[in-house]
Amino acid sequence: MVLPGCRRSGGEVWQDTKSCGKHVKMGFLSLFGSHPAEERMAKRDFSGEADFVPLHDEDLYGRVMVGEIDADTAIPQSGLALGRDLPGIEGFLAPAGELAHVFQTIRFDTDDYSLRGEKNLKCAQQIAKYLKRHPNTYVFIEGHCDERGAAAYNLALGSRRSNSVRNHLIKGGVDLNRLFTVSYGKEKPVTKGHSATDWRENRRAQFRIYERTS
Amino acid sequence: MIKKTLLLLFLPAAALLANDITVNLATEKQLLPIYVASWTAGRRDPALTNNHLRELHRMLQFDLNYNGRTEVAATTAERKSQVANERMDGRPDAEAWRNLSIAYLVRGHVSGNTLAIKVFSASSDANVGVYEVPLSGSVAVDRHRVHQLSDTVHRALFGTPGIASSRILYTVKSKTPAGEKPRAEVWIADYDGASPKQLTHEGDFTVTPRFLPPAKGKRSGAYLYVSYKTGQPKIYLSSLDNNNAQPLTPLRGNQLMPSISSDQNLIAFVSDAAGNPDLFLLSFNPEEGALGKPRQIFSQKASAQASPSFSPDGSRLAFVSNKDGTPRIYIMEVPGPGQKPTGQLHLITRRNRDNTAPSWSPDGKKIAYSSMTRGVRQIWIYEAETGEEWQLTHGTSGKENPSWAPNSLHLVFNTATTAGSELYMVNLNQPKAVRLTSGPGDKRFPSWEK
Repeated sequence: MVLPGCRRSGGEVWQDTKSCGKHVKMGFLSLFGSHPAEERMAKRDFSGEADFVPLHDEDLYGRVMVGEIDADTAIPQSGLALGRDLPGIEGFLAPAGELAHVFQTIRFDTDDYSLRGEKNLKCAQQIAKYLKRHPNTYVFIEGHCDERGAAAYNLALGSRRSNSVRNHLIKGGVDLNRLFTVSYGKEKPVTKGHSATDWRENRRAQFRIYERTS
Repeated sequence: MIKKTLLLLFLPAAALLANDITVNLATEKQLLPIYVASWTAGRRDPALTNNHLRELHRMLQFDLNYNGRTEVAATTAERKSQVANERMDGRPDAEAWRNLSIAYLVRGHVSGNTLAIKVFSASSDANVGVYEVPLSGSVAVDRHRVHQLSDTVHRALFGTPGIASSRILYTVKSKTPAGEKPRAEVWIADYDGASPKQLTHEGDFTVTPRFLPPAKGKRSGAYLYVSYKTGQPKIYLSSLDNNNAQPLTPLRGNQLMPSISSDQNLIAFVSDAAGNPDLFLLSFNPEEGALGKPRQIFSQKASAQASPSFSPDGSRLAFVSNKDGTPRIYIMEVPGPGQKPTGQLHLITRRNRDNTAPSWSPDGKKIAYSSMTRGVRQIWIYEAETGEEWQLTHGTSGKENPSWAPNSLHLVFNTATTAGSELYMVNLNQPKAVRLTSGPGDKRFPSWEK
């Protein structure tokens, strides 16, 4: 097994060979078996580091807009981990059959990132009910945008949509440990057309389900 | 409105049409005309074929045509004749060259393995420099050497470093059917778009790569980027030489759009770890990686934050927020360790409603960003000293994700059209953009090495 070395080529040098060696060692360790990223983190001993320093309420500038559920609930930094205790996202499947009826796509108006409208609210209610009844069901909430916004900014907006749905479900009593978010911005449209109808189809939150057996 | 004065030093009045002056005054600073004569060759290494030398000559012309200071003058019969009448080892006729509207003359001769270059200033009637460039016959190696030559000449002429040896990181997104997961990898290329090389091979989706600032006197050896390979977007740190990407921080949730301060002590990024896409700050050290816990430094209910960009002294961050309804760019003070953010934000984009992707210039004087302007996203410049905003680019293609070159004069950005995305380069003295990339895939999120 050849250790990928810290090759010096011309003037191009990794910051210094000491740091390169440290990172190369990490990469080398990961060559033995397919450790998911999270487990590699555990090897690096991030104990005590696997969380963040939050802003306190008084630092959160401005209050909530009318119509928005008043709850930003942090993502738990301990407990069941994706890729370790739970599968990675590829283990979360598009809802099929009965589940497709429950986990319907949530829609959004242009420039709107909160859950609104009777149909969407009913859908969220249905989902919350199902999740409270099925404590072994875990959900990935995908947030998507239409093509019109700037690409980088849309990655943040997609996160806003998926978190909006997540926060709404938590407010409805769903266990926050079973809800995961992913933003795709405008990168994963369901339709590639350029009409208002296409845009409406693409502004959405979609669900992927994992049913844990144990 | 920026006022520009037109320098008419080297251009005989007869050569200018009234129309030209009107157009140029509004948009271009006067560039100094430089004439890059065809190279002569004596006995030379067989590896240095005519095609090879022609390509290197073309590259030198490109470098001297798009540096924002000089502009390559056309090959006319008179100029060719003047070169033919002068020996390369003799003294050029400064007055004759001035009459031919040339400020600088570059001559070259290839002999053996060496390209000898002479740069002469017609305005000061003196040699600027004489250079010997060893050539190998290998395109990759010789490209680099000619770019280094261009930078050396730039420094000799203007006293500041050129950008011809720098590189650009970007992502290339492949076409995938609707509904399928997106795919993109991180690539690197020379500043002129040549020698593109794929860096990541994840078979998944990557976005927003950023060079780590190089150690002094060296080129950058590492970069940050975001990958969706574990499902949620996470920030990775990788070296350019080896594909040994390491996750930056175990913070759960989505991690996006990293920006690193010039002294490399801080990384700012967007994360939804607190249940909303917010700004986070992470202490960093290139030897040890992330230090301590990430700190949440800006949030507001029902808002989205994006695209942080450090000021060159690391004391401030420009970023996007739609907290006031539409995406605007704000500046905040970076809180010191253990310090609470002051909560003071300075709004910089007052003219347009839809503003994204700020990039702070290395000299700290300007912020470039993308603004929706009469239906088309254009690159705008904010002047830190005066608070003025002005539109740099025009044209019908939407433009996003500007990134400054180390000289605070050039910018790279990507177009965003229904046909696709390519990288273009522009500079404050030459607002007409030059295309850098072509071929399949959407090229986006460029980061200029600095």
